Amino acid sequence: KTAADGTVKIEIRRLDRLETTERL
Amino acid sequence: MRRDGAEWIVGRVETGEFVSFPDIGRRTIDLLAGGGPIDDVAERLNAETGTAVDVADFVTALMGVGFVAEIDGRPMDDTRRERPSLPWLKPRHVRWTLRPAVLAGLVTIFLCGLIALAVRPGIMPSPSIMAWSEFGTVSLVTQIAIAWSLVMLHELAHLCTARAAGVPGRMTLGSRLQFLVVQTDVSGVWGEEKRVRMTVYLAGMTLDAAIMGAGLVGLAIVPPEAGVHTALSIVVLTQIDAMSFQLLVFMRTDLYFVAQDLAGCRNLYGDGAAYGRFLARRAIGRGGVNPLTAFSRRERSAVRSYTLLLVLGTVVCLTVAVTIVIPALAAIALPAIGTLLNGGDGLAVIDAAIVVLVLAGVQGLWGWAWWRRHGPRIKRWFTPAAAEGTEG
Repeated sequence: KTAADGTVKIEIRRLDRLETTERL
Repeated sequence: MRRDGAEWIVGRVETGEFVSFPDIGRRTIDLLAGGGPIDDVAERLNAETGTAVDVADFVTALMGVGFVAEIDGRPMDDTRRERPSLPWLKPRHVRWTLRPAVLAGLVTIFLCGLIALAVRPGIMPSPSIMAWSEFGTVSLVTQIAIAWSLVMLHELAHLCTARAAGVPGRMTLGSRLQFLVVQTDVSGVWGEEKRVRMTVYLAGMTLDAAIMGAGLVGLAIVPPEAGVHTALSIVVLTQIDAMSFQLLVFMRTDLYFVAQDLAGCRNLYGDGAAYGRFLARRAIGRGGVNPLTAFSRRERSAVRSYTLLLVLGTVVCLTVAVTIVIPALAAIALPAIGTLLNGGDGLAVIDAAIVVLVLAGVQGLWGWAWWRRHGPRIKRWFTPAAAEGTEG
């Protein structure tokens, strides 16, 4: 979130792929 | 783009890539969309918030998920877009699937089936009906035809409800541990309201339940000696089996996505696996940073619980595969292979050929789907070692 030089880094989180499923 | 708690969820429906970030990210994107240089955006944010925001880092992260179209007039590669399934199916064709009346109708059919079963418990089919023919391969092929048709209906339900919301959706073969599955990527629904998301997640199971309910009603009406009675029995048992599979949330089934959404998690499986690896490293004294440190208390609790389920479920599932499924497959396959090698009467050879064809086909498809999912990672594991070997 905060780098050593004091700048704020925006935290990005990658979301799960929504892969609905049924067993063959 | 939509708000979700203290964060914003942003993504590209056509690629299914979605991310979450705090309010400052939303403001940064708004300013970047205005077309100003990155340094100007950083100065503007500094003036507005009194904080020095690393906008270049943010843009780089957005590039990593394919959200940046061009920089300094130079277009970025956009190779993430994949052809959707049934591209001719437009949202206007399937908009009706999101209507509450459709859900009410399907639930009513399911309840009618349960009432029929309660009134006449004897209509519940016996598992032995699966071997309805004196010829094993006839029973097997019949079952495959019915089961795979029902699987396609299940996935079509997901695809249609997603398409109704304007999400492309793409059906592919996949693997979940030792199982071959059909999966529909509906990641674009991350951007939709909760009611739509839940409808898409549960569309397959709702249709499964309605088909099972209709099957039970049919079994209460049709005489047991009729051929259609056998078909209905196989349908009911297949749907019960299919719905029970969805309870195995440790392998990212439909109910997993429901649980993930209700818990407010972003990537329950990925975070659970990362936390499991962290615990394993800590157990052998290698430590590392806890991947849940930045999470809210609620999400941290959900991921911890899921990690336990993930580890236990995976161990049990693989144990069953090694101790029961593989020996059972061998017990079926080896005599059939023996018949093919040693010969026999015509019917026996045909029977053996179909058995081998089905087993090899399903296992071959599973191997292909498994490698497509895990192959790139396995290649990466071996690449550095190979490079070192060459240099040495």
